[in-house]
Amino acid sequence: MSQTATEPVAQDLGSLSAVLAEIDRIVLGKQHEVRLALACLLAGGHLLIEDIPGVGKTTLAHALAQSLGLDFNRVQGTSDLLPADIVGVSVFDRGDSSFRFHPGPVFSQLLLVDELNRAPPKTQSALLEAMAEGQVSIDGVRRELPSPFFVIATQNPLDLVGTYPLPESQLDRFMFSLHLGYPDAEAERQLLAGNYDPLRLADARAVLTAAGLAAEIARTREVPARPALIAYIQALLQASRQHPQVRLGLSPRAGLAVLAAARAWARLAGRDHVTPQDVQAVFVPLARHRLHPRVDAPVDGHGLALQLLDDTAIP
Amino acid sequence: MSAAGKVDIATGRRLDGGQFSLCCLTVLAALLPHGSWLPLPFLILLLVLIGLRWLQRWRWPRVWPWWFRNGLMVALLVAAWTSIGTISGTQGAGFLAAMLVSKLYEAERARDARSVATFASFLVMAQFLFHTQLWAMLAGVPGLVLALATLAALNEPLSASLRAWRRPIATASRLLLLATPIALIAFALFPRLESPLWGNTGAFSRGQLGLSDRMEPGQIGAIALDDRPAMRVRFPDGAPPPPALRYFRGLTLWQTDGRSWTRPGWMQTRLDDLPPVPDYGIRHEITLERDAAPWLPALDRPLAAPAGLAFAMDRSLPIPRQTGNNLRYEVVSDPTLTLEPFQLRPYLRSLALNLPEDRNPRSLALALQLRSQYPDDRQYAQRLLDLFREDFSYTLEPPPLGAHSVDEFLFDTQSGYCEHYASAYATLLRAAGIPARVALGFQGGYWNSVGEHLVVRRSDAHAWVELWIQGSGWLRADPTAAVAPDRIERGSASVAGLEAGLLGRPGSAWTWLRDRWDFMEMRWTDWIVNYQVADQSALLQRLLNRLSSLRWTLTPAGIVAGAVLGLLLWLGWRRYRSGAGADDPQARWYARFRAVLASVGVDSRPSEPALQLAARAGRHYPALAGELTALARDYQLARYGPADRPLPAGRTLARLWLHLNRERLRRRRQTPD
Repeated sequence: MSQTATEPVAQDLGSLSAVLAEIDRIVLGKQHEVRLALACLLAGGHLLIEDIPGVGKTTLAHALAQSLGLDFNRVQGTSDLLPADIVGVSVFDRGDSSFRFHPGPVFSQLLLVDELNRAPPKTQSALLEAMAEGQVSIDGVRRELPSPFFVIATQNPLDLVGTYPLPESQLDRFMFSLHLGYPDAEAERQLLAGNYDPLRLADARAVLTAAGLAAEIARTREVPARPALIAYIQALLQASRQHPQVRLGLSPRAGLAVLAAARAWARLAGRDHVTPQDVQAVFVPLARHRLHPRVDAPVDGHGLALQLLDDTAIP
Repeated sequence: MSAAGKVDIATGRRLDGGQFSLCCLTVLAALLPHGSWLPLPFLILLLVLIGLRWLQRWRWPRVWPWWFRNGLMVALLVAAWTSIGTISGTQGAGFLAAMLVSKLYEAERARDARSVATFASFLVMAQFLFHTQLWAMLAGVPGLVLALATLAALNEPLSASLRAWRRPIATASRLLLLATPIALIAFALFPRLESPLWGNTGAFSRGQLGLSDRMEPGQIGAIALDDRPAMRVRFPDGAPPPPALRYFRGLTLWQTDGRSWTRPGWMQTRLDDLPPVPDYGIRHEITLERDAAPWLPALDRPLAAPAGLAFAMDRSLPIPRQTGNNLRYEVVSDPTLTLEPFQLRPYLRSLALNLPEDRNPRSLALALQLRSQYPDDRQYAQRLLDLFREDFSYTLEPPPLGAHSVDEFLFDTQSGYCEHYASAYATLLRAAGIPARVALGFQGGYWNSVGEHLVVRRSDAHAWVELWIQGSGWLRADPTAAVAPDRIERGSASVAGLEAGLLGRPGSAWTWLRDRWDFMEMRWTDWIVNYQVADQSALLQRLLNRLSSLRWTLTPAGIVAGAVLGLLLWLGWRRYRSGAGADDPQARWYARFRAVLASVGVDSRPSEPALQLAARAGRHYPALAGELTALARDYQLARYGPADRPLPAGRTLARLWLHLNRERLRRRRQTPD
């Protein structure tokens, strides 16, 4: 519903607008989704992209990493992926007769996990600690992850054979669950006409540095939200818990995530305050994977989120 | 985001099947009460056209070209003209019905449905030109409910199932119920004209509704089967008089051409006031149906009228000019009153003896022959009654009579109805030199024990004779009583098996029901139909003490206008504030913003963000998009912005309302369809 909201981008976006422009150059016709993905990172959240193969999931993750100037690692989820393949392993070094730690791909600022649901549960939960705590424990030693640390995971919702669906606790760690969907006609024509080139991804500029991104994240946290807006978010949470077709409503952590994401969205819109429209813009990707419908409910999480938005009055 | 966004405000959507069917049903319901007077072929034509149109749109949907629609309308108007015969006065309602039916043939959009519903309500109202009884009001209710339901159903798609219609019909009924108290207040307080806008004489000139001031053979017989009430009589002081005394005298007929009896026009020119209440006599209160008689019947013989009535030279009571259709009156009568006992004025005497010389020769000869045997007036009159009793019979369907109608009746057919007897009797009396006149009125009546009143039906119309005898004055003589005493003792229903058919046996469920219905109908007539200026002033006087007559007109108007205005203001204020359980000014401001937009057709849900609503409204009113967005942005800043920003002023909303309405008007002018 909010995709149609028209709001001009204000001027003081600064480097963020450059980031958006850069990504839009690479991912064609997905301005809204790109914006949502960036908002997710600005709010310090992890991103889950659910869609069929070939619509640009990985490209988006790459483009984000490069344009934000983050160092970037990629893991392909398979059924024999072990936790050590992600967090790293201590190998005995004959030279100095001690174990030397070889950090895994998780030790990067942006980790892309492709087809996360193909990884076995043990591996999934190893990732969970990393996402939640920003640290990993290996051989009883806690090791801090770099900051900022983001996980972008993708999964294919259709091909479920040989997969391990993510448990609810794991899903809750992802701030957004994005659907990319097919590009629109115009974007697809451009794509076919050769305006897309894999090489472009390689020469994507780093518009921002990691430090600059950290500063942006800090600024985003300071966007003020007035009591009326807090009341709106609370009303949405309350409504999700009382909805007759919802088995499990939104947690307080989800509420915090809504506020953080709405701040980021407001920031991306160049506004210095959060409005209900921001909340509505981020609510669906944020609540979609967290709302669990009853078995007999006629709609999925996406539909439930839309219903909640439609039914909850803005105070 | 919601269904409201799809409403096309400028032109209105195409009607779906359910809405169209509801339209057809509305027209049908509005038309049916008119079935009581519309010529049957014309009515059937209209019904068939409605059915055809319904079927056509259902099966073969198409938009009829303009020439077809116009042709159909002209053809229908011609049909109305030829079958009804006139378009003047109340009969114009037939044209109305024809136009409404032809309107169905161009009903395709919501706008058409709106005019059909309005038009149908008007047609419902038009039927009160013909009938004012309780059943007429009840018969109007379905049409009104359906018209309202049609309007209600235009707001959202409607499937063509009766189940789906429950909702709009329920809405309409609720609205009607809600409106009833307002209607009652308006009814009681709205200023009335002293006399009605149209006279009530038109109904009598057609001679088909009740008695007229003229009597011809077969005329009363024609209404003998008319079971409708003509009047209701209450006797506040006690029981009604015995059946044999229940003569409700209307007027007297003096002139005859041998066949019909009429009354000279000047009889009514000199009126004397009836004196106020005497201390004896039978007091009774009569409520006359408006179209039952062109004068006021009263129990024979009227003596006094407490509320003031004038009587004409023959002591009949004309309808006072100023009272309009106020046909409730109180009379005190004394059956033993003698009229002009000692001397009949010469010109009256000659008038009461006058007979056409070239008519009814055999009757004249018979009169002379009998007169020679009975020189005494009383004996002669009595002999005539005996004559009737011996050889004559009473029937509702007498054979038709020619120019010498009295001759034919006396010597050939020898069977007839009260008017035949009255006419023959008066002729024979006059031929023998005894002044005589025919009296028209009602006789009998049915005692309703529920309402404790006497119901006199149109079929109780009766004619009898008054003859003048020196020393006794005018005496009442009823030749019909000689032939068929039952007719007088038990009323018209005793004749010819009518009792079982029309009236039912006493004590049966039918009688029980009829008594109650009749009682309700009397109350209806008393309180609603006959509610007049006088009643209104009495009511107001009780309410407001004494007021000058000027204020009597102005005050009720002011009260009604004030009440309506207050109600509208209150409703508007409630709508203005609605949604705002709002105690903080920002939420209240936004509720008003939404109310302003809703008033021009842009509905919104409480879950819609302000800017989004403004953008949507801006698409409906592009000329005002900038103003709308600016207002919404200011509101958003005030409510959610970082610092405390002031709200847009209240008058900006008023200005917005003005601009929106101006825009809407401008657009409506541009798109006539």
